[in-house]
Amino acid sequence: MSAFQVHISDHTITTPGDAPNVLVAMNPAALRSELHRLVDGGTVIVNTDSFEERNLTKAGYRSDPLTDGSLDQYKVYEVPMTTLTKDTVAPLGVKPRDAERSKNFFALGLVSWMYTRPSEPTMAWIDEKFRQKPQIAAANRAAFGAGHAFGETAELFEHPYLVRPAAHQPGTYTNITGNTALAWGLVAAGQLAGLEVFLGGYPITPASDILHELSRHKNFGIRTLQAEDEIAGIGAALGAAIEAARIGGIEKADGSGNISYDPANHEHMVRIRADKVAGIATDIPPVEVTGDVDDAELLVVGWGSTWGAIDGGVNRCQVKGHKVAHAHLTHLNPFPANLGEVLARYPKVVVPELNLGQLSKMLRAEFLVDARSVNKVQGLPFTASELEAAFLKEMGS
Amino acid sequence: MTDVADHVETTAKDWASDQEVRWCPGCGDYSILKAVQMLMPDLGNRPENTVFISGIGCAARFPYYMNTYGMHSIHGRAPAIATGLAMARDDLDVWVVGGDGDMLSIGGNHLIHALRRNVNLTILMFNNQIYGLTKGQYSPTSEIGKVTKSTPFGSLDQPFNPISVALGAEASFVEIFQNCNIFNDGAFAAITSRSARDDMLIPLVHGKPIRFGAEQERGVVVDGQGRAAIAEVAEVGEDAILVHDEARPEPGLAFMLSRLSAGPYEPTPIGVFRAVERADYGTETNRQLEASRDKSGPGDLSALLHSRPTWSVD
Repeated sequence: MSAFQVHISDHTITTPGDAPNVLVAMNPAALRSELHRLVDGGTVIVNTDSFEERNLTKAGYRSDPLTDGSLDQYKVYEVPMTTLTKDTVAPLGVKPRDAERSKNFFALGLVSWMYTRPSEPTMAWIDEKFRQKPQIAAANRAAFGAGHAFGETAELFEHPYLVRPAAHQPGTYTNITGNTALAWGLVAAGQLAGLEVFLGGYPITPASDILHELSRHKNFGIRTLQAEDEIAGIGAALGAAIEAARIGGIEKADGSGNISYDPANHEHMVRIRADKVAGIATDIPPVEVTGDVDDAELLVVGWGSTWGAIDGGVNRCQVKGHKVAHAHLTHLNPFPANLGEVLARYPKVVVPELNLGQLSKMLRAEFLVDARSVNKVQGLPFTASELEAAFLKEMGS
Repeated sequence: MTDVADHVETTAKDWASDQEVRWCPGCGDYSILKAVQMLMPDLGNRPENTVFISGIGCAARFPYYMNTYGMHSIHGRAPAIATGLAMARDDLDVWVVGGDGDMLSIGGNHLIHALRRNVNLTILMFNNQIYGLTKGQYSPTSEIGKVTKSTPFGSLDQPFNPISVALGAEASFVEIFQNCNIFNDGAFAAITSRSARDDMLIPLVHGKPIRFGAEQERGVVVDGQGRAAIAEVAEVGEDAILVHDEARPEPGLAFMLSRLSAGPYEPTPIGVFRAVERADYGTETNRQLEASRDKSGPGDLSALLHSRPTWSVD
C-alpha cells in the first residue's frame, strides 16, 4: 500500500500540507492506515468495489466501516471505481489487469472535478508518460475523463471548490523534482566552471534519481559510476578529483611536506588544519534572517529540509500578531561568520530538528546560547501547524 | 598506458623519493620497493604521470617512498579511489598498493569490483599472510590453524587463495610473496629459499610445457579428476605435460593452476596465470561519452533547462 499527498493553494505554499481535507481510499487497508490524518469533518472517497469481506478482514476491520457508523464524523462518498473504470476502458481492448490499474486516473479525474482543476495538463502528461504504450494512454485518458464526468453528473457531491492561481514571480517555469534540480545544478556547475563532472553513487531510494538523471547526460561529459557501495562511490569521486601532491594520513612537517614524527609538529598541523576549515567562514555567505528581522521576540534556526515547515509555522505566528524571525543554515562547519551575532540579537532561540537535537547542541556549545530544541523523529516531516504550536509555546502563548 | 613511441628514459633513482624509508629492519617490503623502482624505467612512463594509491597497513606506506603523485588513503578503499582517478584521467598510470588484510579483508569488496570492471590499474598485493602493522593477528590468507595473538588456539577460517579470488573476479592479477620477518618469518621460505627454489617454484611460460626442477624433470599434468597435478616427466612422457596458455578466453586452466598448491609448503606456480584482452573501464566510459556527443551534439545547458514542458508567468 502506498500513499500520496497533494497540496494546492491560491498562495505560495512551502510544505506538502498538514492534515488532508480529502482522502481517496482505494481499499480498506488504505482507509485504516490514513484516516487518522484527515481533518475533522473531512471528505472520504472510497472505492466500494474493494470493500469486500476478505479485504476488510485483511485490513483488520471487524465490521464494515461504511455501514457501522465509524465514519459518521466525515463526509463519505462511495464510488464503485473499479467497475466504472473497467466499463469505461473495456471498449478500448486493454488487458483486464491494465484496465484495473486505470482506476487511479478515474480517482484523479474525480478529484480534479471537485477542485475545478484544468484537465489539459494531466492529459498532456498521460500522453507523454505513456508515449510508448498508446493503448494504456488511451485507457488512462478515458478513465480520467470518466472520473471527471462522474463528479459532474452523479450529483453526489455538494459543490466543487475553485482554487485560483497563486501569484508567482514572472518567468519561465517547469515542473521538476528536487533530485532532478540537483542533477541539473551539477550539470550547470560543470559547464559554467569548465570542469568535467564525476558522480560516484550507490542506489538508495529516494536519491537514486540523481544517479539516473546524471547518467543520461553523457554528452555534457558527465561520468557516472554505480559503485559497489557508498564508500566506494565517495572514494571514486575523491579519486576523480585528485589534482596533485602526495597526500595521506601520516603527519607532514609544516612547509616541506616531509613525513614528520615530531609530536609538537603534529599538534601544530592539527591546529593549522582546523584554522583552515574555520577560514572557510570568510568564503561562505552570511546567514540571512527573514521575517521580523529587527524586532522578533523569537528566532527560529533551522537547516536542510525543514525550511518549508518552519516558514509555514513562522508565517502563521505572524498572522496571529507575533514577531518571529527565521534563519536557515546551509553551512554547518564552519558556521557562517555572522551566526553568533545573529543568535545574540534575539531574546529567544528555538531549533526545530528531525532528530534529537544535533544542531541545537552545536549552537549551545559554540555560542553559549540557550537554543531550545523542538524534535520529531517519526520518519515524517514537521507540519506547519506542529511548529506553529511549538513556537507559540516558546513565546508563552 | 604509454605507447612504446613515448618511452621516456628514466633511472630507478628518478622514482625514489627523498623520504626516509621506514619498515621493520629486514622487511620484504624493502625488496618490493626496490624492485618497483627498478621496474619503472622499463615501463617508460614519467614519474609526474604516475600515481600510487594505497590503503592502510605496512604496505600502504609505499606512496611516500615513490617520487610520483600518490595518496595514502583510507583502509581498504584504495581500489575504489583509484577507479575514480583512472576513469577521470586516462593519461595517468595508476597503481594500487596494499597488503593481504587491506585488499582481501576490509577492502575485499572493492578489490573484486575493480577487477571485474577491468579498471586500468596495476594492483600490487603484498601477501605476507599476517597482520603486521597491528602486530600479529591472522589475515584472510593465513593458513587454517594459524596461532596468533588473536587466535591462541589456532585460526578456524579457510584462507583465500588470492589468485583464485582474482580469477573468479574476472581479472589478471599480480601477487608478490613477501616475508614479514617480524610476525610471520619464513612464511614462504619453503618455496623461496635458494636450496628449494628449483623444486618449489613452477614458472609459467606462455606456450611452453609447464616443467620445473633443477633438471626440468617434473611437470604439471591434468589428472583423471580434471585437476592439475605434479608428475615425473620420465613417468608420464613429455606429451602429457600441460602447455601453458595464458590467453585462453575461459579462466578454467588458470584457475586449475591456482589450485595446484594447497599451501606454502608445496610447489607453487609463479608468473602470468592469465592475460586476456578486455576493454578497460575508463576507455569504455569515454567511448559512451563520445557516442553520446556524436548522437546528440555537445551538451546545451539552455536546451536541458527547457527539455520538459514549460510555462510562463508574466
